[in-house]
Amino acid sequence: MNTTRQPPPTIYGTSQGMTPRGTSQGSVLVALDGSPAANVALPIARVFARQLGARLEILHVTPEPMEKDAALSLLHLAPKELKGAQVHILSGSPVEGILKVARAPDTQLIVLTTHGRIVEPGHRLGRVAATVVANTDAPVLLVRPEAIVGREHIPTRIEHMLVPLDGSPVTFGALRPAINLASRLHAAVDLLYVVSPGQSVPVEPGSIRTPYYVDQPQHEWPEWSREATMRLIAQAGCPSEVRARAFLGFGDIGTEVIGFAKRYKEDIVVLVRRSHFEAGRARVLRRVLKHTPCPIFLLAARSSSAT
Amino acid sequence: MLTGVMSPSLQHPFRAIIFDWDGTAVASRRDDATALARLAEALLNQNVWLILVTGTHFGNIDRQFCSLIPPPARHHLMVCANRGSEVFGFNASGDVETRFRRVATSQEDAAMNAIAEEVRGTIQAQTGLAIGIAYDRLNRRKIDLIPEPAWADPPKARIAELLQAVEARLRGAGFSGGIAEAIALTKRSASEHGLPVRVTSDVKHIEVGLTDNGDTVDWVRREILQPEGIAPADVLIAGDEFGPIDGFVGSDDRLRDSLDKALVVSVGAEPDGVPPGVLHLGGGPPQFRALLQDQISAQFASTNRLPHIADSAMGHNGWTMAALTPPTDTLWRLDVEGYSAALEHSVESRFATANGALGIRGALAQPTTASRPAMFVAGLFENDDSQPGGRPLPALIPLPDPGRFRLLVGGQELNLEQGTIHSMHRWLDMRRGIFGMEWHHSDPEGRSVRMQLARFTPLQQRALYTQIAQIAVAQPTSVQVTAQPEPVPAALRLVEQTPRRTVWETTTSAKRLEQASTSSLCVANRMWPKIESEGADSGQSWTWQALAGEPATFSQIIAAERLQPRDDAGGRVVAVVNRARARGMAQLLAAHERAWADRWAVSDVEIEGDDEAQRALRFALYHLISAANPDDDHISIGARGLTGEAYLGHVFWDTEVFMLPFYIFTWPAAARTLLMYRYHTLPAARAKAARLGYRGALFAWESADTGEETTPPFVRMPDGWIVQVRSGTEEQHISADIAYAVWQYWQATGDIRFLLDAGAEIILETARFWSSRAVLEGDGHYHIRQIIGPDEYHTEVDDNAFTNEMARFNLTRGLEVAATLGAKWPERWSGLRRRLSITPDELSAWQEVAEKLAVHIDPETQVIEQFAGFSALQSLDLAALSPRDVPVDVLIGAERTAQSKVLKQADVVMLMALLWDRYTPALRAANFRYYEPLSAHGSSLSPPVHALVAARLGDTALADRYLHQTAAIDLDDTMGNAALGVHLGALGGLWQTAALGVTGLSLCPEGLRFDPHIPEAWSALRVPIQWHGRLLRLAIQQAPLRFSATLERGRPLTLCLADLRFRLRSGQSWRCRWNESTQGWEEDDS
Repeated sequence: MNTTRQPPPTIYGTSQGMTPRGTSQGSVLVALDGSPAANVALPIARVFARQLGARLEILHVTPEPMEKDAALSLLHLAPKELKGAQVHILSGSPVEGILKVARAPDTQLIVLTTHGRIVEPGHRLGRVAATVVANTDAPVLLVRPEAIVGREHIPTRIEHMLVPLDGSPVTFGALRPAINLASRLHAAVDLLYVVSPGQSVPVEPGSIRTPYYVDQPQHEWPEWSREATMRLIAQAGCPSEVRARAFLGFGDIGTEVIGFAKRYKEDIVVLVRRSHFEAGRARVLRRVLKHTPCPIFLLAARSSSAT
Repeated sequence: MLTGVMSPSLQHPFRAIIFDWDGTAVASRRDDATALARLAEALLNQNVWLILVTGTHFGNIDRQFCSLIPPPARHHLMVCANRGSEVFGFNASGDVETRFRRVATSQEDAAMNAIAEEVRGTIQAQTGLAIGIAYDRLNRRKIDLIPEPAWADPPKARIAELLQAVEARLRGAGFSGGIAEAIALTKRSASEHGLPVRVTSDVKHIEVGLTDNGDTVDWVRREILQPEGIAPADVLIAGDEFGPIDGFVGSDDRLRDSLDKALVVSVGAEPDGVPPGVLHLGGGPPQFRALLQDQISAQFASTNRLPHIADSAMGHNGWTMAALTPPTDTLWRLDVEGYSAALEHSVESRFATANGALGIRGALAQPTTASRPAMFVAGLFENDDSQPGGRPLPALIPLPDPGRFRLLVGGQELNLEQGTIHSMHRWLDMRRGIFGMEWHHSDPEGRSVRMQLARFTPLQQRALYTQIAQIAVAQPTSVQVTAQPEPVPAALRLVEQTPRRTVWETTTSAKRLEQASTSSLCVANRMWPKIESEGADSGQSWTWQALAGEPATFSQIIAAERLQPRDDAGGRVVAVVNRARARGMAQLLAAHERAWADRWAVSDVEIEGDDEAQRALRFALYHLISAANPDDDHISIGARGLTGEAYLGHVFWDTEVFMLPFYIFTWPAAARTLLMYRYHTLPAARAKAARLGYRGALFAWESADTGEETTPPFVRMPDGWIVQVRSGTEEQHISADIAYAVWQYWQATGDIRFLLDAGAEIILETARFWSSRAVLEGDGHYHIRQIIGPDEYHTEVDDNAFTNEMARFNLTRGLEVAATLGAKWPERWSGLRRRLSITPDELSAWQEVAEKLAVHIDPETQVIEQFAGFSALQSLDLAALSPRDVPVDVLIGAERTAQSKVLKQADVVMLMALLWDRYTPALRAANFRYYEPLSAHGSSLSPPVHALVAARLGDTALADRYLHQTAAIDLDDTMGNAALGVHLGALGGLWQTAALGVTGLSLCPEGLRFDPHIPEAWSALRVPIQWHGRLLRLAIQQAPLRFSATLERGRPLTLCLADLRFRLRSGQSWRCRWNESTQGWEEDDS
């Protein structure tokens, strides 16, 4: 083996197409508070809605009841940005409003920015976003405004999805919605198994672990990638046609996830939430939230165990 | 059929059913009992005892019933005939045997005649009626109260009518007491004659007998039920006449005399009701059949094992059961319980069946989404362009498993991932080379299915793959089996498809694959017709209406063969299948078992005291035997054999260095073909050497069919980076490894023909390569620079000790071959020398290179430096990185690893293993102690080499630890490495540890030398070794330490043990023991 390194090539080719138009696949709900920060979520939500064949629903919650047109004007959106979207104007608590609309059975996804008008010092996640995330079982896509604003182009298609793993079969089930989403988006999945120094490795039968013996790396690593992918797909009960490949990272999980997402221009990072953002919890999530270059697809784990 | 009538108590799975025949099981003796026999067969196959009770003789029952049941299924069938006087059973072949018979004395016969005649006389005297007597019944006489044609053989259904007719006849003629008086009369007469007879009546007759049905039931209780441990509560008694008839006890009532806790049911009309304790169902024989049907379901739900269909259905006795039954000896068996999607691939690898030509992964016949079923045909390579680097590489084609079949139950395709798997057990019978499985599954709608399956690839007919499955459902339903060809990979192009065979061709290499098959389905003792479909849905299917619990047997015989591009002998597969079908599965299995027995007889390593090690060795040998084909010298064994697609079927040094010793010492014919494969790839090896600017032969680091280099030039590392792979050009020790293997084979076999035809040329051409590869430098030494040794953590090094020492060995053997051929076979040498253009000057150059090849040995420590500059590398505290779950180069990075004294595998330890006699004991020990702690064992080949060398050094505890670590690579699969194939190199290393390490086998000038060191946990080791056509059996015993060698066949041989020498002759044993006080070996005269 030699260490001559070449720049990584594009991991996958183009994706395979879209869900046929005209077949409604539920709704994608995006909540806007009228701030420029929050509004960056709209084009992202529109991409998802289009690719999923879902309705785009825009929600704005005003402190007091007011006319729809007046409320809409507070969003500072051009008419074309509202085109094709169903707009809900509610009054009262933003959190309650979002959770109320999100309870509709066909809500596929809630799109929120990590913060809106109010940026609370020291918090990666704004109060509204944090409370919604903690109180819904629906998948939430968190958009960090700074990551989008700096980009020259908003992605027009979701093609690559980064799914970090801890290797445990228990986690596989939690990832099922993400893999299914990838299937529906026809997006490729990059599974990233991160080994951290001092981190205990999963021991349950069927866990994804690194091979102890690597006789010939030119064979072992591609096979490891294939096997890890299969285990996730099979155990999560996901469609087997999902294009996925497993990768291995070493070091701090958050750092590896951020670095990988940047290097391979991931469109989404999938994270599983096991806490309600109590103090001292969700360390990895907080770190990724701070630096993520792309939206985070946040899933709630059924298990209450801490990460 | 009546269903759903059963009380909860009837849902109990009874272990024995005692039933009356006339009126209960059949309405009359003219009834067609086929349906009843099918039900009975299913229950018998579920190991339920069926005890048929009848007043008639056995011949009647045999004609009407027993003959309809396949002979092997009759084993649990008993017939109590002649109203309690006889009991018949069946032996394992299904032949009838008399188990009990009461024979009347002449006095008893005379007394019974007298009683019957007195009764007849009395009634006739009073009435003038005709009264008949049947004298020809065993141990009884039948007084016929109504000998009229209309009532010659009244069915039980007409019992009430019969009763009326008999009473009318007797009473009308003046016998006012009717039947009751006739019975009383008979009893009085019997009493007067002093004969303790049984008097019963079926209304038409009064029977005077020495026995009644109660006697045989009591015999069954004593002789069958008690010895079998069957409690009365597990017995069901069924009859039709328990209740009194006209005031007299029913004819079946005595059935329950000796089994008071049995459940008793009556299916009869019972006009006067049934006695307490009898459950009255009514319904006659149809109800009885419904009862049996429900029992089949109850049995199905309660047992873990599937019943076995009668083997006679397939024309053979006992073989189906033999094939489907896992061995009881767990030391010969590998098991896995349950199903886990994540572990499925590993299971499939471990449980693969192969015969060197065909390999079938141990996948489910109805694969799940987690399954990776595949069939491999040895040598069927085709270019695969999906490898990194963009260059197509030959890869062994993973073919669809032709043994998979679809199962539709109640119109729903069986899907093991939906519903519930109640149980799943997969087993490998390593002794017989059979993979088996049994599972019980219910789909979401509650359709419950059991399957047992056995699969083997006949060792005696390598083109064949055979499979048998038994399928049973819990509820009556339609079942369909469909064997449908799966799409083959794009690497194959269909060139011919007929009902007889299918032929594909590889798209670029023009190899052909031919496949033919025949399948059959047997239900209830008869072959079921199949439906063939053509076109896109081509395939065969069988549909039948299954009874609950009734097993159907699906058998498949498949032949597949690879044909080389110019091989015109196509069509053999059809003949192979036809011959196999004509011989039958039983013969195929028997021959397969014999072939395996023959192999085990000369290779089994027996370890006492450590079951885990014993099983690991058997597992290793099972896969090594499965991997080789002594009939095809154009193929070799890939790193994962035919058990998985990992490593693309490529052949590495693993074959010659790790596996080949097993074949050399136990199966020389297989070893020879493996070396002949290398001989056939010499042209490619010469071309590779020339391409790199050298002479001679440089074999491919990774070799497929032609011997061209097939190492992927790049790999995508797990972090996503693309990294160049240099092993294909710089890991050159492979040439010396192959030369070493050739020499070892020659030493162990003395196969002159091989040496002259192929072996010498390999050794000479590889020696020539090393001569051209080494460069004389200013220090007066030859150097081999920019090389990769087995320790691939350190690449592009100079003077790798392993490479240089093996090259020296290669050069020296080249000179020895030249000298030997020149002296013994001068004509052959002359021809070879001319053809290879070997000059005396070249031989001199080899000598010089061999003498001056640089290897640095520290004069103080005697440590051989692994490569130039190794001693200057940074030290790395491996212990500080432990415990770790990743390879060390992944943990600390490739660059730091390369700069550290940490080894993927220890080259110098490897050197000790191969060239043991070249080094002094002190040097061997010093180097092992130095390098062993530096090894991170990043290769699966590392632990077995350390086990082997530790055993030879006498460090048995360490050897034992490394042996178990090696065994765990595949058997524990803690790292998921076995998912796509077992590690045949490591498995070969296991054999070497036991056979060469623990025995300390090496060569001495006279013959063989031994230096045994047995692990503490082993109480004994027995190993067979073949040596120049001899079969030598070695045994080492612990506490006190003993050694023995027995020459089972072959010419006399000298053995050495320490300073002892012995000339061993055929049939003779040499026994020695270790003397603790002298710390030396001595001959054991005891």
